[in-house]
Amino acid sequence: MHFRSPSRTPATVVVVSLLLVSCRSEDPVAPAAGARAHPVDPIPAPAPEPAPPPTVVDATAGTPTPAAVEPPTPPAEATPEHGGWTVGASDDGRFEVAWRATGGAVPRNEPFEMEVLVRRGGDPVEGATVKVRGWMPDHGHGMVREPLVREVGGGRYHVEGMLLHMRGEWDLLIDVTKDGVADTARSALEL
Amino acid sequence: MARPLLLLAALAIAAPDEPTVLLTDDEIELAREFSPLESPPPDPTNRVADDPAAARLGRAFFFDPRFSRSGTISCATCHDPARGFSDGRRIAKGEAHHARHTQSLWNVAYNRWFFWDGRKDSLWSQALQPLEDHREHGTTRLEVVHAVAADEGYARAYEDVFGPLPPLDDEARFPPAGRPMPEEPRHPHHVAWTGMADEDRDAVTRTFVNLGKAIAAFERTLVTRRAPFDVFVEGLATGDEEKLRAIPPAAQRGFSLFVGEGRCILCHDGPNFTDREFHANRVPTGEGVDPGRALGVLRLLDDPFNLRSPHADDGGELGRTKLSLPRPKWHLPGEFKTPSLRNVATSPPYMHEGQMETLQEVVEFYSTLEGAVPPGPHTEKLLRPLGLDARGKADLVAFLESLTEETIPDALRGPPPTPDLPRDGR
Repeated sequence: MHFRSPSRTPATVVVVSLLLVSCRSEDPVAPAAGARAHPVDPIPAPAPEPAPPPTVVDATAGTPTPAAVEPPTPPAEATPEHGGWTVGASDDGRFEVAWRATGGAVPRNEPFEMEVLVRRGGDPVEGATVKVRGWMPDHGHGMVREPLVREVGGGRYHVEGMLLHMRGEWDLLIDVTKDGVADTARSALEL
Repeated sequence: MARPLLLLAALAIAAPDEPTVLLTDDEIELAREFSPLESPPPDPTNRVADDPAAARLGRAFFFDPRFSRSGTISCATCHDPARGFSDGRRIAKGEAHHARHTQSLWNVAYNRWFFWDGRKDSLWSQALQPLEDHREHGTTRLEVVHAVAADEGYARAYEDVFGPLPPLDDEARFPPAGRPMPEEPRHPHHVAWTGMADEDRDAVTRTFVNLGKAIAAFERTLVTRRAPFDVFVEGLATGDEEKLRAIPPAAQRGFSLFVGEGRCILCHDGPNFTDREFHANRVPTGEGVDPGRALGVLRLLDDPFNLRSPHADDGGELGRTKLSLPRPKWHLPGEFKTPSLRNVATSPPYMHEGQMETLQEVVEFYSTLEGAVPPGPHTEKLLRPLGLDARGKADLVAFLESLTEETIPDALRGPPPTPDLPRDGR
């Protein structure tokens, strides 16, 4: 198999968790779960602005839905109205994950880069293993590349090498593993 | 035989009271995504990619059979301008038979990967491999650079573009033939090669790579961008009736199928009619399993001329991301690169082993999937028999034929009078 099916069964989550934990590179200076490692965000955040509540994307339904487990606390600057962020909880609500394409809209069949912001309980999650995958549910395959993810601090992760090479519906899957806790955030895209 | 009948049918259908444009608004929007095709993207890894003097040298080289073991095989032997820069053969044949069909070179400069299996990541490094492949040119890099140095025109053309050639007349340092052949360490070519000083080997390889960059500069000029379909799309924008009649109604209906229920658009997407990536389309294959991209990506990552190598003129910048990303595990046997469909009617047969003689056979295959190999875990799930009727099949072929640009510039048909640019007083 090229990709795991974007199933949301608990069994899959456990397998994902085990796989990711076993592959995770250890970071000796990574803070404990929930700890705020950086008092100052090294990337200047856009100024907060009043905005409607952020959308939680549910890939299965393809429409905004409430968070399944606990309502996530979205980062103040990560709103769909500001900078094109897509915000959501991971499947089991263990992380709040926001992402955006750095160049604006996600292009079809052109390389692009992404920023991913991971928080838990409103605090940035540093030292996590983050993987980004694309999956075409109608095609039964995903991306033909493996993106590179680099942690940049403050719970932010830079992703390069994204390429969604075909027209149609994609699920964007962001796997986050931190201290033995693994979860996946999903967004549905139409390219 | 089918074409005159098709044309007659098209004329009969295009009755005066029928609208000139048969596409829906959505289809018109889609048509604009397929035309025009812009100029080829720049190649920062080849510093002479758009240098006319390099292209002229590359053009001379492309048509010259002296750069082969037998002295009879040139690039144009398999990439014949009169055959859509392919060879009309099912399986390629240079100095010996190859395993796959010769791909057309039309619009090759737009590719992301090269060869059917994408084992090359630049046009210039693609051009090098056939020279040393025993089934193609069957020569060695030492023979190639000696031949260039021995010919006054080539030597002058080379040095005009790239600077001085190595001191190849020193036979003690530069044997007449040789190349790295680690898989056959006792081969005389390998022995000769490994007997050279490191810096001399580097100089020969650099010269060899430069010739690949000159060939690439020529191949970047093999561009087809204004087929009748493009004229039709111009007509959609301007309302020019004459342009709207550039393709017959059958081709318009074929386009509707192409982007609609035919789902051809899924892989043959964008103005060059390819997504530039790899798919398993289940075409019947010969004996054995061709690993396709699954092996191609391994060879790419191991290629001494890939974009991470010091031969890339951008300092490895493009290769840093391009090569860190493809992963063998994403690919299973049977995936091959999606070819462009521009000028496709000029280069039968089709598919990676030339399995299908005509475009009609190709359309028939996708209509029935008869003879398809069993689906694998990464076969396109959307690949289902289209069940087209006779008119639908003919319409699709008519559309594919509307992507043919009728004229080839003379400069692409044969070698220049001399490899170097004319000088005053000559």
